[in-house]
Amino acid sequence: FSFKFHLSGTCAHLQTAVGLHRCHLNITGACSAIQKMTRVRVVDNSTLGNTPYHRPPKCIHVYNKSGVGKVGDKILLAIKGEKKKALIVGHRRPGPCMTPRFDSNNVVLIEDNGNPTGTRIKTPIPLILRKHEGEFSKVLAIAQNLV
Amino acid sequence: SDHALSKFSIDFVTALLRQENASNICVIQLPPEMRYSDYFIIVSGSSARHLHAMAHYTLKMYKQMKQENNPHVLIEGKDTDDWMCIDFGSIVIHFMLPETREIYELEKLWTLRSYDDQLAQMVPASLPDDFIFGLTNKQQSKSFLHKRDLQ
Repeated sequence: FSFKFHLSGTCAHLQTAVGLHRCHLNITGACSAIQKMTRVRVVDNSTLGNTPYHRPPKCIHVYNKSGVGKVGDKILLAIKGEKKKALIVGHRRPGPCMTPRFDSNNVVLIEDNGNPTGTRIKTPIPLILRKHEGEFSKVLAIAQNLV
Repeated sequence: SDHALSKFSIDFVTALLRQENASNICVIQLPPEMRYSDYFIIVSGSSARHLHAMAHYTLKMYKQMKQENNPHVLIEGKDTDDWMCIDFGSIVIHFMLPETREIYELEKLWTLRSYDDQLAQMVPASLPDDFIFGLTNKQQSKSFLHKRDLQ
């Protein structure tokens, strides 16, 4: 499905070679789902999520009893030097049986009142969000591709 | 369990929304391949209170008509003032203010799907030039070091 690469410290020079794209190369294998300090990929078309910055967006808090966020959990992101709430729509960790596993930790930016910041989402969004308790119909409404 | 859902049909819902003075009622029938719902409704309201009243009245009607074994339905976006939605399973209703409707253009997305113009305007994500799929960690780090020596 999706892909994302994180730049480690030794490969920082490659970013200038490839240009403005946030090319982060992820060297580690599939780890846990999203927790504090995980770098995430913003998949909607909001300006905050798509303007390049020298640091990738990082999770700084998970609104959950355990600190680990799965699909459908709200998290707090540090993005472009500001704090923004976001909703997890896919992670690299395998989830329950017959649910999609993504190649990148995908996240959709939302406001404090729950409205999505962007207006369209191109990456696939899992349909299990519908079964979850919470306000996901808005994110499903702006998604192009439902999985 | 089918009785309530057959009574709470699309015609009933549209009649209800017309009775509530909802403006610009847009009902889109979705194909079953989407596996989302059967009908997707978008309505506009004149103010935040209007949206709130419409959403709560629709929910009240549903609760009156549903049987014991129908699932409960919640209103999403209660603390927003411009966008509320209710998911009834086979029908999804979005109550928005006209300005919010202009920003998101849900009708365009759900009728045009991939041909939507906002989607076309989005810059596609691209792979970096030196991406090679399937490299193991060792091979990857070796190739990066090689590149650094070249430069």
